[in-house]
Amino acid sequence: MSSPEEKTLILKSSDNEEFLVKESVAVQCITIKNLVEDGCDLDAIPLLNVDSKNLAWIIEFMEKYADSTSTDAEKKDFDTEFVKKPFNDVLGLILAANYLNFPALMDVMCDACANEMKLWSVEQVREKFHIQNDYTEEEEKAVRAENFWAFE
Amino acid sequence: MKGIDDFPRDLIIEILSRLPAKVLCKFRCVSKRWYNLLTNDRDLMTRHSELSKLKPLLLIRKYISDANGEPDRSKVTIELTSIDTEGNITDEFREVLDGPVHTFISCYPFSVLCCMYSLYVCNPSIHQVVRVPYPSNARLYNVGFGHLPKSNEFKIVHLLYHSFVGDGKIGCEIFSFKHGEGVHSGFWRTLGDYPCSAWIDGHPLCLNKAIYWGLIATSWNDKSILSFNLENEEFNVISYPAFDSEKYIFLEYTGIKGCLSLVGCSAGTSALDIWLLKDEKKIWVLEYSISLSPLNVMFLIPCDNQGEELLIHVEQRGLICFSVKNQTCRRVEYCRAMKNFNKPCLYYDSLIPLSSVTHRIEKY
Repeated sequence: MSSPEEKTLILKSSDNEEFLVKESVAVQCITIKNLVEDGCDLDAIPLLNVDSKNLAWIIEFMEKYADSTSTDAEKKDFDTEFVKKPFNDVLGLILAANYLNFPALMDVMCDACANEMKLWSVEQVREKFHIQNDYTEEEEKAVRAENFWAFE
Repeated sequence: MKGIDDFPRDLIIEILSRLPAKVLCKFRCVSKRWYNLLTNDRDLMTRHSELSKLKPLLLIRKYISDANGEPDRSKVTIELTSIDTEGNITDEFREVLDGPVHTFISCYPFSVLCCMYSLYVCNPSIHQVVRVPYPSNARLYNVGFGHLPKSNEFKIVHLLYHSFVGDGKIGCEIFSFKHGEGVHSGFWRTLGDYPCSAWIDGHPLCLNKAIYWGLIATSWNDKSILSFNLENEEFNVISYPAFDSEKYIFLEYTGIKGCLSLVGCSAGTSALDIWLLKDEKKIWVLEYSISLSPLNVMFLIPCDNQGEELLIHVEQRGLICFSVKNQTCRRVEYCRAMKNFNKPCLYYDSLIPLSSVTHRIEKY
């Protein structure tokens, strides 16, 4: 149960939306933890690289993980639902989790991204990531031949 | 939305390191930058190995009879299947070898397949099987495989008898190669004979910079363990713990929490006694006793990792994973994949090649 002295932080997204989060929950993000420990006494902590859409999700995730009553199985179910987002949003969350240095979220989101990518063809990878194919036709053929077994 | 190529390099590595080696090899075709990242990048290989160690895989072998109508009858086609710890088949491939395999063991990401006259090292993750050079008419007897983290070296230890009558000596040859430099950078050395009148019996296990083999002397009850220290290359004999010789119908050794462990299965009851060798005092302690009744215990799959799970194969082709930490059992149905009673080996997914592939596209 939270004590009356339980500190609440104000986190401000890059688009100026403010979110109230308990300090004990927010320090799962090591970036925030460092700011707090360094004695940051700003009214609101500005998170310049995280927009409100991502911040809302991150807070949802943080609160689930900080909840001591949720079991490992419940967290796993939560993760399964949480990652069901459009792929670009998954990438956006990875960038945000990286900026905030939030290991648990990084782990879940990177796994989700890898799971999605596992099934892709080479062409799909290029398409979804806007990667230019800079091989010549012969070069590409050579690399494919070298790794032919990986396509089976 | 930015493309992934605009992500910081660490992030790209963090994501890609979670993909199996097979997929990464396929993705080398995406672009030249991806080729370099997925072939030559040390950071990616390191991170990929770190993450793979958390998800060990089982490698199972099976002989395919007369697959392509091999004209050379002495060759054997082997099928290697990988399964994860949930029992799902993750990969499968075939290789032609010079004969049936009498020893199938693994260490870290590689496994060793030893036939009567030929020896191979395998990285199953990239479907690579490379022959270890060895004189063609010389027989291969007891082969162990270990890894030394400090020098990042692999050693294949071959124990041989100079005579069939047992002249009280074991001969020893070692093949070492560096991780990442390929088998072709390796070489054989002969060590002096080790005086030992016992016979080698049992599956070698690599644990904590040593390889262990079971030894049998005059009778079944007269057993001990031969240990070979990979660092100083010295032999030692470890006696078994004291227990009633009639007690166990089988006794196997494995690694638990980094300690050498002897697991004895009591006759008729499927009760397992788990002894751990406490290194500091070199004494055996009976740490756990568990019952798997009514399942019939068949054999253990030796673990060389720091894991805390005992892998026990039970009749009806199930796998029981016993967690020593939580004292709980988990059953994995792997009967589809586990096609026969040959002991599988434990390994980890790895991109690191066993032989240097000639890159037509060197570097960008």
